[in-house]
Amino acid sequence: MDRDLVEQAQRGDREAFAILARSHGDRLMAIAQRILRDVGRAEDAVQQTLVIAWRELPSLRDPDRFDAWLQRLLVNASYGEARRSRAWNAHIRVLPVDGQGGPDESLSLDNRDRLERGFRRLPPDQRAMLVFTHYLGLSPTEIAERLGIPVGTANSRLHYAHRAMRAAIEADERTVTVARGGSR
Amino acid sequence: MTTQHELDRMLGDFFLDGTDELADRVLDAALDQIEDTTQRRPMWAPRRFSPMNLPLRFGMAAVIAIIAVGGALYVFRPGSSVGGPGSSVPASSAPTPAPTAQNPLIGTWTTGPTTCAQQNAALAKAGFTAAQLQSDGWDAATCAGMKHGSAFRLQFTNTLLVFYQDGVAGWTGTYQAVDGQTFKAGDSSTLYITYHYAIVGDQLTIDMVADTLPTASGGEQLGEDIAQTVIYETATFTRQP
Repeated sequence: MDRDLVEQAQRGDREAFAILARSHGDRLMAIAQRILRDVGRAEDAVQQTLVIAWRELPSLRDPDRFDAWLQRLLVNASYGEARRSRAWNAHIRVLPVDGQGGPDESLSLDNRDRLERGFRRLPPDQRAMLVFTHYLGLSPTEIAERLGIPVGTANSRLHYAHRAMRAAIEADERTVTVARGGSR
Repeated sequence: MTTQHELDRMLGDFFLDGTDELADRVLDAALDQIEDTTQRRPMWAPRRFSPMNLPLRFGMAAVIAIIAVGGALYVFRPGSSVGGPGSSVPASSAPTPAPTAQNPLIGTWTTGPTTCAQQNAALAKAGFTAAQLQSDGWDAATCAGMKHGSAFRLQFTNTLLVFYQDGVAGWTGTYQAVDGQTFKAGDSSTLYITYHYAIVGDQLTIDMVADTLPTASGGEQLGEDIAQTVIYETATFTRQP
């Protein structure tokens, strides 16, 4: 169905594009919010993505690739949002998680805060790699194709992202240990 | 020490939490904005959707053709019989080194700026008739707006092929080396264009031998063939360091 809609939209059919936007919007929002860690910025990125997608749709050669192409646009828009945001530096104070009992109950509060802090320190391209890997469940090869980057680059970004996250977690653990030790 | 398995599990759990719904106001705002946004028809737009004019065909051909890339070197190859578009490099005569573990296509290949005179010469050499050129609207005086000269660049990675015209990325696709003289390319996992190629020193010759993407019309195909010839047979492609 998407293919027909994409082809119609490529020919300038706004109604067809609106259907596509509605069917893909939630997914785009979920990805953007996980990369940007900010609902407002994620909404801006999604809105921007949809407008760019409409404008550039005639350049999409394979309508079956619409979903992947859209995600690539989204990631680029998220990078733009990231550049405009000061939230990428490490000076963000991470608000404590209120333990709403969501699907991540298995993740302890401490670990989640550590992950949040570590993730926010990552550059946007590494964030995107983590989201595509651990949220969308894609392999580096699939991500490379989706984002239009070499497989080696995808592997490298993922490696550094994992290393940074691991370091962040373990640095936090050491900080906690030191702090607790100092309080005795 | 956090193991990879532990990290994977933690990150998987971490990303489960978050927003999964796009607010209607955002969607509506985007659709409102689209009402005032004109679609861009890039020169490399898909041929099966685009209106046909000659400059556009150039772009499309450039895309489709990821293509005939270095036809020019083929032209200059001793004893070669350069035909019209779609001619192939005879496998037995291609001066291609035996396949190696390292894909020899990987890298960046460029032409220098091409002139209108070079383009006309390439068309003549490829055997296009005056009637064909005329029916396609080819103007030898202006070379369809290409008179200023266009430089083309192909960038092969392990799996991706990116085409540039005058430094602007026009298309990104995937490709697969079949053997030491053949590769296939396309937009995704569907590799619908087959090429023969030959590498001599730092020079690359590519000749499209099959394109299974449906075309809209014979006239459209002719335009693409002319454009491909001009783009890929006007000048040689040279490997960049």
